[in-house]
Amino acid sequence: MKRILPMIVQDFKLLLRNAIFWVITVSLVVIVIVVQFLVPGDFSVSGVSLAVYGFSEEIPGAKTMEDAKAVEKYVAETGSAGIINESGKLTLLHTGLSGKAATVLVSSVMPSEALPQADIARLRENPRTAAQNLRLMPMFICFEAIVLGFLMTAVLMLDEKKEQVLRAYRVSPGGTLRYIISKTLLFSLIGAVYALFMAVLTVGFAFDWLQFILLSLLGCALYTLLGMSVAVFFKDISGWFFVAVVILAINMLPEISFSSPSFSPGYLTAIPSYKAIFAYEEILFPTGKSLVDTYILLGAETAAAFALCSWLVWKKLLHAGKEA
Amino acid sequence: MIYVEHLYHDYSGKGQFAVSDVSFGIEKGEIFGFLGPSGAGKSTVQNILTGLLKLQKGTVDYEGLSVSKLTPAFFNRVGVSFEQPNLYLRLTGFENLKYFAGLFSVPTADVMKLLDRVGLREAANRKASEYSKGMKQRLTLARALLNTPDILFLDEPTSGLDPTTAAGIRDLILEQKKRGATVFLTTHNMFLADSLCDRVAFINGGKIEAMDSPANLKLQYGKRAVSVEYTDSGKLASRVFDIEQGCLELAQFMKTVNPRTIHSQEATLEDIFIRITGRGLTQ
Repeated sequence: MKRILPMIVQDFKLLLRNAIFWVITVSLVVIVIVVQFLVPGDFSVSGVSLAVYGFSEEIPGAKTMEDAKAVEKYVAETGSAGIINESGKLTLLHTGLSGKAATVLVSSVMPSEALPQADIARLRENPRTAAQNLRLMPMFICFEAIVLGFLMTAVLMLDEKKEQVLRAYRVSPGGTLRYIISKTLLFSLIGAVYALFMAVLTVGFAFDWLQFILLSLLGCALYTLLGMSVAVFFKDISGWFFVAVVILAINMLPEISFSSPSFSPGYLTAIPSYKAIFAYEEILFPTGKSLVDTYILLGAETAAAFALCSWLVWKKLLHAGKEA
Repeated sequence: MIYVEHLYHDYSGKGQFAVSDVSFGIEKGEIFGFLGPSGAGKSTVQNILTGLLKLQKGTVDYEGLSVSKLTPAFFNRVGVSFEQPNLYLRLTGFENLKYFAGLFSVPTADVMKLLDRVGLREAANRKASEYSKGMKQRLTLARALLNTPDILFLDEPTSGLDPTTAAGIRDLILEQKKRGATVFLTTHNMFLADSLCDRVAFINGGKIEAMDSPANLKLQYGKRAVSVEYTDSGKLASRVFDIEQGCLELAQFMKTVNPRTIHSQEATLEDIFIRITGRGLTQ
């Protein structure tokens, strides 16, 4: 740690002297202002629409169709959900509902005495009442504060390439691991501080700080490592920029699931930000759900990213034969 | 200390060798000059020796340790100064040195004293991006000296420097030799090589063409003669005397004229280089 600290301090100084860092910082402040003062607290978000067939009574909020085929057609055309009741046997039609959302949907059309005894989960148990504008914060924290390391570590690394300073680093006792660890620690700390500021300035102080910091550190470390792993392939910012934008756009796709929790196909849940965004929601607006699985998964992903990043930085930047 | 045998390097992978069958050894405390024009293969050899380039073929040993097996800890003993200054341009000169000093696990020099030694004390708190090329060059050299290295690699250390500053750098390199450091000096500056090096190797087209002490090379390839400039009937004239067989003729001539200047006709390293390779050092 004694020899990593000067590297962290040096990277922090470079960060403070980089215009992109201040642009990101200002954008975080703008987000806080917009959420607190410009977005109303009671705007409505439309939920999933439901088509049903075969129920003797009208289901509140659901559209009753004339036959099963009409339900299928409606689901296919609108991307919503449908339930067909054939003599008590329920068939759920959907285009990508999470397991929990499917259970909730089915249970909502069943009389309580007819509900199966097991495997029923509720998305939010006694949720803390929160204004809709504040419910946007998990999304903003995930896609601004947490990805700060992804962007800034690449900017610093590409500057180092441009200034050829990595050649000097390679003939020092620095080594690959210290290079990676110093940057990861710095951006994990800065990202976690930014995330905390965003949360405190909007939601307030009433949340589990320990879990919040743990989640932020893990998330920031993961994205910093991914940022370095991508940046090693590029010589300058102009080449890297397009790829970074595409990656960040893909990373933001779980926003769809966050806005419409019923839409959670596998390819979205596999994106690390999917777990992070719902974990932030749980921490800021707790329902009592355990996040241990999320931490284990994020921890495993961070460990894998560290291994990949170490290999790539060594192979592409700091290994003999690379004229960095 | 450093042993290089049958070193080859091929950037293209098509048998076009930038360095071909290069062999030499450098003893502890020696200043070894690698002299050659741009593109001769000097920097390629230095880059292989410092581990920046992969060893493709041949042997490079540091007291029995192969360059391909060097660990980061080895670089606690090494200092490298590059021809193209490579610095953190957004950091000050002081911050640049402080950062690199933090990477070593051996005691390092006082950063301010080192900056003072290379004439950058006044500019210590200015960003490196505001430095002139010569200042960047000096800062790069100072960085190479941070860990008081046993082995020092210097690539064109006086390139782009004014004569006074270059003389200061030359003295600094001699100081390193006095304290026992081994210096591998890559340059096309014949005067620097002549004044500093215990031995020099001429490299041309990736091959070593000659290797010896500057004095021996001059003896081997130079001409022992003296040129006298004198006035004759109010006009300036000159005459060259071959002194291989003695100075009698020269002595007798001197009694008869009013000499203005007397110069030995000793060959410079550049003269010898041209004679051996057929091309100049600055080509």
